[in-house]
Amino acid sequence: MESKSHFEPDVVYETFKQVWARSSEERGSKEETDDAAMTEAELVVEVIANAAGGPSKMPRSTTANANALKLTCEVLKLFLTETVQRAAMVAEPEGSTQIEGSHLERILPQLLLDF
Amino acid sequence: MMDVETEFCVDENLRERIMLAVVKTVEEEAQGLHLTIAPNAMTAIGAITLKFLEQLARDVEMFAQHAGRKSVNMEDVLLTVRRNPSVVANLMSVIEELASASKKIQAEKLKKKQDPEELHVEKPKKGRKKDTDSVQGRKLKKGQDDLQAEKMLEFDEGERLRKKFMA
Repeated sequence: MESKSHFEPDVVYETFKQVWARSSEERGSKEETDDAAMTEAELVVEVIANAAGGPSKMPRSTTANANALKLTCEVLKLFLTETVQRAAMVAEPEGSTQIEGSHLERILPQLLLDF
Repeated sequence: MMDVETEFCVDENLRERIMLAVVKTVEEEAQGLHLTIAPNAMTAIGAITLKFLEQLARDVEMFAQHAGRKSVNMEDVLLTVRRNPSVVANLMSVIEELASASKKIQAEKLKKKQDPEELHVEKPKKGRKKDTDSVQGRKLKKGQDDLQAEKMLEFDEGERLRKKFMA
């Protein structure tokens, strides 16, 4: 059972950073449409952040710890093995030796609820 | 292309690397079960995994922010899979492995430090003279201590998480 995950921590980290950049952009644009509610201090911070060179340098950019990345790789591996095993359980009684889209369709709802 | 409506945050290059890992993992698993995967099923699994990972990224960022942190840690990741006890159990054993591995490294480092015959100090950069009393030397020493402290933290965090999630 000791197969290592094929996912590399830096791939996971890159993905995280891109998702976080996108979500902080969205948050940024939401705030801009609500200027009246922003205090002067917040406006100043935003101006500085924009001057500093864009969304990736915003004061609230998130990072991740190395162990969190390793755990995420493990989560991904478990997710995939669970998917394949559930699909196999549906495919085998039918006698097929290949996992098809139809098998996947059947297990997908429960899989997404469980994860 | 059929998935025009599903927009991904991730760029092409990264998508390919993720897909590669997905394919390897899925094929390995299927082989173990003596089955094959249809290509369209594989593509679908890839898309699902990507969506899953993106959602996980958002969740984990929010958990960290909720805890008042800027850095996502193991606890946040564990929280994303809280609904699935077998996954939690599995991850706890991974955490234990990590903790015991880091404890081992720590013990080795401690041994090296205490061994007087080992002149095994890290070489200062650019061939400057080794001078542990200088600021540079003190900085180097501090760096090693920080690393040890980090390993200690990892070990402690593992223990704390175990108590929390396995109560």
